[in-house]
Amino acid sequence: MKKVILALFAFVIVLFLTSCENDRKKKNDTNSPPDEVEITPSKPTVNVYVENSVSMFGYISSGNEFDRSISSLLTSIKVSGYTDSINLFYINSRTFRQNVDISTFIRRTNIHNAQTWPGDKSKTDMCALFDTVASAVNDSTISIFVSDCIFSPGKNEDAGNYIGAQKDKITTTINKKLNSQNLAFIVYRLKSEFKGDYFDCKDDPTPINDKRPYFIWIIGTAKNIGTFKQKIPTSKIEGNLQNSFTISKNKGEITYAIQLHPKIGDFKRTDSKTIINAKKDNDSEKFMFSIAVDFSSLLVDPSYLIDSGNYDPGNTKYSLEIIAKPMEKYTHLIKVTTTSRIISPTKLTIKLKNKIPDWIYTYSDSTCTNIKNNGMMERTYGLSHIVKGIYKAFNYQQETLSKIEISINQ
Amino acid sequence: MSIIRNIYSWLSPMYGNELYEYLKGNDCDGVFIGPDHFLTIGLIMIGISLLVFIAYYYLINHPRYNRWYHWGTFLFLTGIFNLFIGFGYTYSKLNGGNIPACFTYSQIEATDDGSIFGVDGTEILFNSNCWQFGLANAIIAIAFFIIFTFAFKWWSRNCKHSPLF
Repeated sequence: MKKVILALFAFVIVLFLTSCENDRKKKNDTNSPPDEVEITPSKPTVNVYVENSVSMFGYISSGNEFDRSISSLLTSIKVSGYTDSINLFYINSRTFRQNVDISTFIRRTNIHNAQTWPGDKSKTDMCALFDTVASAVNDSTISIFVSDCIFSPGKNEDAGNYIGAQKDKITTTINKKLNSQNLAFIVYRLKSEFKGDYFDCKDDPTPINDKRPYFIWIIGTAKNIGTFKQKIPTSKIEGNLQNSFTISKNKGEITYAIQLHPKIGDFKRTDSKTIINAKKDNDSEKFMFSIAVDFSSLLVDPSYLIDSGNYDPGNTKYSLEIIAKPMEKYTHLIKVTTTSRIISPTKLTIKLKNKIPDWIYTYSDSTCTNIKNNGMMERTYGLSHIVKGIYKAFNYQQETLSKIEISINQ
Repeated sequence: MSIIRNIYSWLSPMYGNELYEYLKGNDCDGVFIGPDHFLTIGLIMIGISLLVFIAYYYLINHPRYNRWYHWGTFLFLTGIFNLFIGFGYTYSKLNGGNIPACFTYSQIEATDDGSIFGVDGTEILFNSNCWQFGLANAIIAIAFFIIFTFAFKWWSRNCKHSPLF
């Protein structure tokens, strides 16, 4: 009898061992592949429009940063193999094609020539300009538009009402185009020496000799813009590139996985999205883990992705630090840290917000402030109205570009 | 055969989470890509425990060797065999460069083509981890030997009362 009991006892132990499941089942081991931006097989034509209204004359002096940036951008486009055909235009109330090569086009962009350019150079209808350059866009053409992006309503207009109305008009115009094409917009903010008359919203001139911002817009279909960003990264644009922002209809699917390092404290990973046994480091009183993320499927600017202000950690006890770190199939590393006393079971949903970046508001003026006032040299009258006008045209339904979901100690 | 992996997971704090994930067959993202090294080591470990058990109770099976310390000697032998097997297996993987950098370094960088490499001075897996895994393997082998003993010793003619009952 004793033998039987002991044999049974041994088998109970074996059964116990085989029934205990320490590891949780993998919930979702296979990450869905990213919706990669497709490479357009045929090379698009590039139409370049340089605004030549009077307000632009201050930038136009041979050999300054304005020339350098445009020259380096166009040269990069050419040598990268992105296109075989670049068409060059000046634009004001009309467009004027220049049948010259890039270097001649840049050389001719000087104040002497500018004063002889035809068309109405006295005012700028931003909506009309965007309408013109966006209308040229199709599956095989992208537009590059260089402008100071300053509205000039004229002396008899109420400036506030004017830029508000222009914003709505831009929204309507772009929205109409979006109905037929999946467009994307990149805006680069650059700075260059400006020597000449600055025209405020009342068209009153103020002579200045300082650095002023101007903008390069790249407008094309999402496919062509995706390829453009791959082939001509911002590092290729010489001169003084300050900020950038891309507006597009992004697909929100990204791949990500918890990494074992870097970390503070300790944890176990049961699958790529689940952490168990999370423990704080006794010395630093912190718990930190890292998530490798592939953002390459999103048409979002690098600077936007590394700004933690553009993320919602989903839990106030956690903070984020984002590092651009290309590794195997990933582009970024997100460090998630908490100093919370207890690491309670939670499902952390980190959201990448879909919003206009802060720099647009920082460098925008909507009250027609005197250009000589402190900080105004950095600002552009009505910039936020243009960007908001285009952004609104996309009619975004959700406030997030993508989500990262991590289960902790659940 | 996740049971074998689960048994090894209980002792993973002993030899390190990184080595555990590698032996489990995971890639750097925690996704199983195989092979499951625990299955290989586990089957060897169970086989050795069983062989030593059979050797003591049914092959030697001698009245002169039926005291508890004789049984203890065979238990010790089981542990020693598996200690060296556990160590040798992981040592060859570690020093053969088979373990990805994400498990062997706390800081990794990528080359221009995106492949990763560990930063010198940030190593986290050492030969000591291999010894610790060997020890964990020995402990599990000893547990299996004890289970085999109390499950199957009763049919031994001369040693069925060793070590107890």
